Amino acid sequence: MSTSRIPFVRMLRCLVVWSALTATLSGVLGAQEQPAASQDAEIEKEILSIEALKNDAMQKGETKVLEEIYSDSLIFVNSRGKLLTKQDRVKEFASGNVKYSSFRQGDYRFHLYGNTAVVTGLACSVVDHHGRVNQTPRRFTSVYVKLAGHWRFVAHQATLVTDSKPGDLQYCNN
Amino acid sequence: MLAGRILRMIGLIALVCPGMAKAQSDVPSRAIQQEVLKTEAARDEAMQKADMAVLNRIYADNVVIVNTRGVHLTKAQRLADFQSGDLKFLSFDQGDYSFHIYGETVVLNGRANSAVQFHGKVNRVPRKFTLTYIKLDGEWRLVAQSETLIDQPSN
Repeated sequence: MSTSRIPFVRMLRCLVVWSALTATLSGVLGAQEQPAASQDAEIEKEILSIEALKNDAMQKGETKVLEEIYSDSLIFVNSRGKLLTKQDRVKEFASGNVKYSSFRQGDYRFHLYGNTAVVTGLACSVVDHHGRVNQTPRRFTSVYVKLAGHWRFVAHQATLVTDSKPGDLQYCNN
Repeated sequence: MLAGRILRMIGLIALVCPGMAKAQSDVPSRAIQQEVLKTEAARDEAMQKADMAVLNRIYADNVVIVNTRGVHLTKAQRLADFQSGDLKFLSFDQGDYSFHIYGETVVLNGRANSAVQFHGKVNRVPRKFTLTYIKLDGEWRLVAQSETLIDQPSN
């Protein structure tokens, strides 16, 4: 090895080791300092911000944003029991076959399992789906998985609420 | 030589920070599919026989269940339905499975054509379902289950 390369190699080695140490220490210290509840709250906040982006994109038909959020292998079962892929779902928005007259989605509940989040909620939006207007509230379950550092939407299923106890649909009625 | 050292350093980082190198894959793995299918077969049998011990083991404590009427059920409510006989299968037909695997999380989609009696009402309408299994303490546990009637005329 030529002598001119030595400082470069040393610098590179220091940089790499420093990065590795920083990553390790920040991970360890972070995990120690941050209580689990606080970590969960941060994850919930992160996913809620993605949900907000997704909801906005669905209303505006912004397919680029949806493509970013949807996992390539997304499994989407709509309230008619139809299974859609990512391409199918994006195409529905691009073509205008899904249009919202009003949008209301919330009552979120989270169950977190490491890099997987199960999110349930209620949708009370009025939606025109291939020419049929649906005003019936839907209960949905979405699954997010953290892939390569990003939370991605991997599964979703919606079911019409045809049976409810008092208070079940409070979110939609308020 | 320089390239070799850089590669070794990258390897070291991968060992020190496994999370950086370990990318979760959604490529179906036959072994995981077999394990989850085995668990699913045990659950199907337990549902038909109302085998509470097996159901209690497979359903995660925080399982989220949304039935075909859009009702959200907890594990305790689901088990009570089986135990009381309020939920009974008159015939059982479930399959057409598709898997998506993300590390130790499995999203399983399928179709059920079973005739099921729920609180006195018989449902024979085919349903699509999505199940999410996660490996917890070495066991595949059901953490989410959603069911939707196919082609509901009211929608």
